[in-house]
Amino acid sequence: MEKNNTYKKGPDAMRYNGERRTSLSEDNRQKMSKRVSYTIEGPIFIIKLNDPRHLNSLTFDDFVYIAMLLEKANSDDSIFITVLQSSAKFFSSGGKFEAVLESKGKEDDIGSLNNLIGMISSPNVFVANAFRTHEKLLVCCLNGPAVGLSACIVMLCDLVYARDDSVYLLFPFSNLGFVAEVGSSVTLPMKLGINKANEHLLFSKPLTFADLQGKLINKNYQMEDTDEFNKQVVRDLQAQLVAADAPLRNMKAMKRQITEGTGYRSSLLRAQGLETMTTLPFWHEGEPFRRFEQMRSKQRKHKL
Amino acid sequence: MSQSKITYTKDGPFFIIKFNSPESLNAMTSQDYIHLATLLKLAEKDPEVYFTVLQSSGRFFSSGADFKFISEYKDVLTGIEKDNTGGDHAARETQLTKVWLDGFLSTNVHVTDIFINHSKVLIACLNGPVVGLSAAIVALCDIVYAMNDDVYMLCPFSRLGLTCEGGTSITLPMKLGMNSTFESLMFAQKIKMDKLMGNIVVKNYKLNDTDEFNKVIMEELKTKIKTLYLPSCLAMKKLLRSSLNDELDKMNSKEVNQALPFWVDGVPLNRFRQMFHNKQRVRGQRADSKL
Repeated sequence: MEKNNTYKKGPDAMRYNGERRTSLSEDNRQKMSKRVSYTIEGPIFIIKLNDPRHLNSLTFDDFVYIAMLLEKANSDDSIFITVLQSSAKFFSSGGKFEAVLESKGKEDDIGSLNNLIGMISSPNVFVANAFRTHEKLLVCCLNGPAVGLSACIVMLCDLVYARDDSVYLLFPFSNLGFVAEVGSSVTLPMKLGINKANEHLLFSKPLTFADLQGKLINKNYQMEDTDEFNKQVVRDLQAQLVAADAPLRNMKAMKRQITEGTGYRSSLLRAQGLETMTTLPFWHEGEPFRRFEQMRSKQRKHKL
Repeated sequence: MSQSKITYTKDGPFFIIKFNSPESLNAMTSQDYIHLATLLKLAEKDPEVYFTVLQSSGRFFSSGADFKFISEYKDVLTGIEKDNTGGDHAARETQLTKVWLDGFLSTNVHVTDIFINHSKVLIACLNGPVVGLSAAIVALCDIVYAMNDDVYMLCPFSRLGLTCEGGTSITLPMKLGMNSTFESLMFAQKIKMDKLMGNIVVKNYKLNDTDEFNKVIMEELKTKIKTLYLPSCLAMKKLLRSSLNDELDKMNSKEVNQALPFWVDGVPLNRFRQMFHNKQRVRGQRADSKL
């Protein structure tokens, strides 16, 4: 199936004539998540956040759903590129406060500790691993700011395109009373440099477009409208695939070589355990819950 | 001596170490470096401390090794050169090795180790250029701020007949990139702000007064940490350095052990001597021209 097929020449490309193929019905998708959907545009698998009214904030289930969609894109031989998109002017404001606060056990017993371990491991191990092992090129259409776990996901992408220079990434871990999660203890030092990572992680200080340009962000589209931006990126990616005419297996092999050669893959694997076990005592002790509660009641804000 | 050259104050979660000898460009003797390590250990043990801040005074952050140490070795070395070993080469090498284990290796490996394994957030406020082992120490810091474009780092190891020290064989390639590091280290070139900015230095304050610079940084740091849960900062530092520290510990040992034979051969001491005399001559010429 995979042999030498390129997007231009491959059997799947032959089949692709502009129509959308989906394997889940609309009804089913609604059940999976109200906030995350996917579409397939020829060789491109698009995962889209579409809850702009809540700044595309996500529950833990949503993150797990994104991981499942990554698996789906990964195992589909007609897919060359996986794209993350969002809607309106915010990429994602991160985890929902409600979702975090709901997961707080009422009593300090083994059962609630076990639940807590599950809650911590699901993004830090399961979701992070889906990104780490993703073989297709991962592209983020950064339409606006991303915060917390959502910002971590942006950092895990291979290419990031910005809608304009209003984008920023914020990792407010020290402000919320826990530590770097979902690979950010690896992706920030590796992609931005360790001193820069220290300044922005330790002080919960936003990374602006200027901080990210050329290091994380590949191109600034300087566009006003998010839908137009999303469409333009996908059109550009399709054109790049046609121009490069690269077989999928070569693209996969090169991604693997680069992520292995730089130690990125193994560092991320190590971080899954380290981040989980470093952050767990903070959650168990309870400081993050107190601070999320203050965020919900607006006694605490992110510093921007 | 070191006690007044390097002072410390505590300010809430900040342990501030200050270099106070602007007249000698904050050059450091072995004793001074050991005292600096002692202060770091004080900060390490204090549970109220989360940030260890390095400040300096005057024009230079630190010009590195104090040339005065050369005179300390004058007698030792002339003694050995007179050859009281009766032509026994092995005995002579043993004597010289003992001298440089004491004078170089043990101090260097200890100071570097204390910086590598410091668990508090290390912040350097570069008011000016930093040279040699002091530059290596700055490269080991977690966060570095610069006063203005006059700041540079210089690791003149090759010119002094030495090798990488203070973990620079890891920190510089990691932070500046490999090719940039080769050029700066092999040719003992100044690493100027264009290369430091964004890689080692995270902010250029564009100020001209060292006292103001130090003050502004402390005010900013206090604002920055106001809403933070400080234990998160220390846990994140540990997380970010988890694999790095093992590598640094390993290279700390290799760096000094590979430099030791050069000290025993005598090249570094001669180079230091030459530099010292050159400096004296330049000073003399300056004094002449003033007359």
